[in-house]
Order: sequence, then structure tokens, then C-alpha cells
Amino acid sequence: MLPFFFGSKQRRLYGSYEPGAHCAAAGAALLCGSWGMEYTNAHRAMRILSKRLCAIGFDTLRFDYFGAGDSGGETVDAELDGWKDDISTALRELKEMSGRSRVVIVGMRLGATLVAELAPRLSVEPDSIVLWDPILCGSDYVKTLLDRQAHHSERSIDSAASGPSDAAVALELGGLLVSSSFFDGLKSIDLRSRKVRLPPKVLTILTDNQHRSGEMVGLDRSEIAILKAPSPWKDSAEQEEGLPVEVFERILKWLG
Amino acid sequence: MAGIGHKFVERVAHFGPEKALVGIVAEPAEQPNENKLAVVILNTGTIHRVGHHRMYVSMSRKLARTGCTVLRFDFSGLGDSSPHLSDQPLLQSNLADIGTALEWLQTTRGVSRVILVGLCSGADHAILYGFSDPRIVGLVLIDPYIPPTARYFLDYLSRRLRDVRSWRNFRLHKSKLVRRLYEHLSQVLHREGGPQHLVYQGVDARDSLEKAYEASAQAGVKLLVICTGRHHAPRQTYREQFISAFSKVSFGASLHLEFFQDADHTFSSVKSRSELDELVTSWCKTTTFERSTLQLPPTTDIAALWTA
Repeated sequence: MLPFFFGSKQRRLYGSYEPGAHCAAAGAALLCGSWGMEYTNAHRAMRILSKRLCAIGFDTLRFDYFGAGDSGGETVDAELDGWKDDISTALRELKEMSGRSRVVIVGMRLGATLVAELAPRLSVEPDSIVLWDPILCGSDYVKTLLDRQAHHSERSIDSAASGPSDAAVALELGGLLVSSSFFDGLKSIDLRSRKVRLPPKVLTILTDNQHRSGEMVGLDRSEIAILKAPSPWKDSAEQEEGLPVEVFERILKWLG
Repeated sequence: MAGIGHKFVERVAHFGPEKALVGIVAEPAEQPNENKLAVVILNTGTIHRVGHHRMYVSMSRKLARTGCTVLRFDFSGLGDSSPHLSDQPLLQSNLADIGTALEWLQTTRGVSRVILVGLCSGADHAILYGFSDPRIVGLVLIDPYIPPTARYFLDYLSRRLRDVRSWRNFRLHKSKLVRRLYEHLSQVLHREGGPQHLVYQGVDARDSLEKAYEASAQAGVKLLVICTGRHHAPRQTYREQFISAFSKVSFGASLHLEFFQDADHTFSSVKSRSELDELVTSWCKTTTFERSTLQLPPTTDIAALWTA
């Protein structure tokens, strides 16, 4: 595995590149993770998925968005449009590093939502896209985060702790300081009713019982798979036992 | 705070046998590390080096801005690091990884003095490793394993009895109070350690940790112990519990104890993390770190922990 920084000087991104087992037909896979504690909790599952993809011949790249994980920037610098640019940057990086002609993208949670929204504008056209439990309704998602936060009496809305960032207004969401535009961006996500122009080969995997395929106007052109599997992005106390093996198997079979 | 505002850089640290270990080193961009001091941040449980709520990225950068070299890395098999090649027990493998990280800092950065920072199991690893390596001059232990004391039991009981939900659970025969009391009694009877921290199999955790703390204090290792007060299932309930639990240890001036009454175990609010960063940064900058040249006490008993 090759850990490295890429992107521009102003927007350094951390990535982990893993070359696949020799298999010319497979291609290269970009893994786009979620955000906040979902990213942290699911880190292991994404690494294992990466390894499983490598084993069937994919070169893989996992990366952190700007202002998240090990990438440059502070949490308050994060913007959803900027993260879509990061996905394009990572895709170009992967294409260049691997030299493979076939490129696929696997997005999890917020990563899946961003990939779906970005799909018509991607600089490198992916052969296939997997959307793993995308966030369909941003206002519901934000409400869940705020409800959880309300359990902590020591909440704070505090822009003073943001350090050197220039963000005019900042607030706390999911335990992180974020800009108001990031907050609004999350709330405006709507894949239930807003159509997105998806490429021909898209697999949407749903493991969360609350979503039904009929509620996803935005993703209605994709192939839908409803699976019973653990949710690795949840806090350990809420997680079911084990890894989402069923999801891994489905992704590998569909891409293989 | 002194020194804030220094430019820093972050680089990938890829080191150890077969370059199996991965981390990020944050360090001043221009200023040479004249005091040869570095901070190494350890994993919390199975969470990778970024930490809960990105807390270790923020802490690393704040320390680097004050002129410190900071390494946050993943133990073998965690985060981006590859699994350990040997068949060592997990604890030994992790302790060996700390040694490997120190060697890398020494070789590539000329670092000869190191402060270890750890939360929960990270703190447990730090105290178990710290006394044995002369390069370790300081330990920042955040919510380390603290054996329960009599006052802890009283506080805990009182808190649970005031909680209406615990009565409902009791009625439903699911009482955490009963379960936790049973756990504690079981631990005392079977002389085992804390289930949410490292599991000290077959050794007396309190006795062994006392020896580790005593050895650290004797060696002149400075200790910053930070405890939080808002656990869902608290391991400590009052500021002095650490001192009461390890009352036999002669900490002297080596111990600085802080209690974050309103912070939870993973510092999930921005405010609590900001205060934590301020405290750690200030302590690292203002403490005189000087390891004693005195001979360490025999460590054969403490070494039992290493095989746990």
C-alpha cells in the first residue's frame, strides 16, 4: 500500500493507493467514504473492501476529503462542492497512477450521494458506480445528527474555536465545527424526489430498512439491491456484529 | 500561548519492518527541532490515527504550531498499517510498534526525547511502555484505566439510584447497575482489569499498574493524567480517584492531574477538545522534561503485563 498526499498545495488530500493482484481486465476503483463519525467508524470496512477489490485485480484509491481525515484544512473549511472537486481530483490521480482504462467508483453514505450528484459532470467517465446506502434526504440526516447532539448537554455553537479559518459563521454538527454553507448543503440533499442523471451502470445497495426503492426518484435508473447487512458507519455500540460481508460480496460480484 | 502561528508541514510516515506502519508526522516547516523532543499519539481502541472527531489531527497541528514534532500512527493491523507479521500477542505487538515509531523518529528526525499521548487503551499502552524506554520523558494519559475505589462505588450507586431509567431497567431485570456491580465484584474476586481498556489476563491490574506508575515516577517521567466526568458508564466519578486508586505510588511532583467534569470519554464537543488541546499544548511547552539517571527498580513483576 502506498500512503501519499496529492492535489494542489492549497488543497492537499491524503490517499492510500493499493495496486491490485495482476489482472488486466479488472480496472481501477475509487472509494469515496462518508463524513464525520461515519467516516471514522467505517474506516476499517472501507480498507477491507479495498483489499477485497485488490484481490480480484482492481487498483484502489481511498482518500480523505479536504478538511476531513488526514487531508489538509480544518473541518470548518469543508464544502460539499469542494468535496465533489476532490472526487474528480482523486479520480484523475487514480487513473494516472494505475494506467487502467476501466475505472469504477464505490461511494458509501455521503460519499455515495456526492458521487451520484457529480456523475454527469465527472471528468473521467466511470465504467460503473456503486452507491452504498447513499444519504437520500439531507434534512432527515441533519436532524438525526442534531438529535444525537442534543443528548450532550455541553453543546456549543462557537466560531471562536475554529482557528485561522475565514468562515464567517460556524456551528457544531456531529461533534465537528462546520460552516453554515456546509450545513445548508447537507440539508439540501434530496435524492428522493430530485432526479440525477446517472450513467448506465449504477448499482444502489440499501441495507437500511427505512428506505424503499420507490422513494428514490433520483436513483430510479439504477439497479437496486436490498441487503440485510451490518452498518459499519454506525457507532460501535449500535453496530451489529461483524463486517458487511454480504455487501462486499455483492459489490465484488457486480464489478467482477 | 507561546509560539502559536509557526508554519508546519505534514508528511506521510511509512516505517517499520516491510514499511508496515503508517502515520502522519506534523512538524514545524522551518524551525529545527532543537530540543529533540517529539510527541507520539497512540490509537484509541480500534479507531485509526485520526481519532474520534478528528481530535488527533487537531491536536497534532496545534502542537506542531508551537514547534513540536508530532507523529500519529496506526498500530499493526489498525487503520492503514499492515497486520503484524509475527505471532506475538496483540499487546506485545503494539508495544513493539511504539518502539519502532521511536526508532524512526530518532533515525529520521534526531529525536531523543518523546512524550506519549493516549486515550483509554492508548493511555494503557503508554503507561505500560513508558517506564521501560529511556527515551520516554512524558506521558499524557487521558482516561487511563483506574481501579474503582469505595467512593467511586458510592458515587456510582448514588447516580444510578437518582436515575429513573435505571429503576425501570431494574424492574425489567436489565439493570446496568446490577450488571456493573456484578462485574466489579467479579473483577475484585478474580483480580482482573477493566473490560473497556486493555484486558489484563491473569495479573493483578492494580498491583501491576502501581508498579508501572512507580517505575515511571522514579525514572522522572512526567505524567499529565486527564480524566473525564461524563461517561455513560463512568470508570471514574471524581477528580482524586486516580490518586486514591494508586495511593501507594509516590508521584511527587511528577504528576499533573486534571478532571474534565463536563467532557465525555471521546471529547465529542468542539469546546472540550479545544480545552484539551490547550492543556496538552501548554503542558508540553512549560514542563521541564528530564529523565532521571537513577537505576530503574526491578521490572520483572511489571513485565508480567507485557505478556498479558
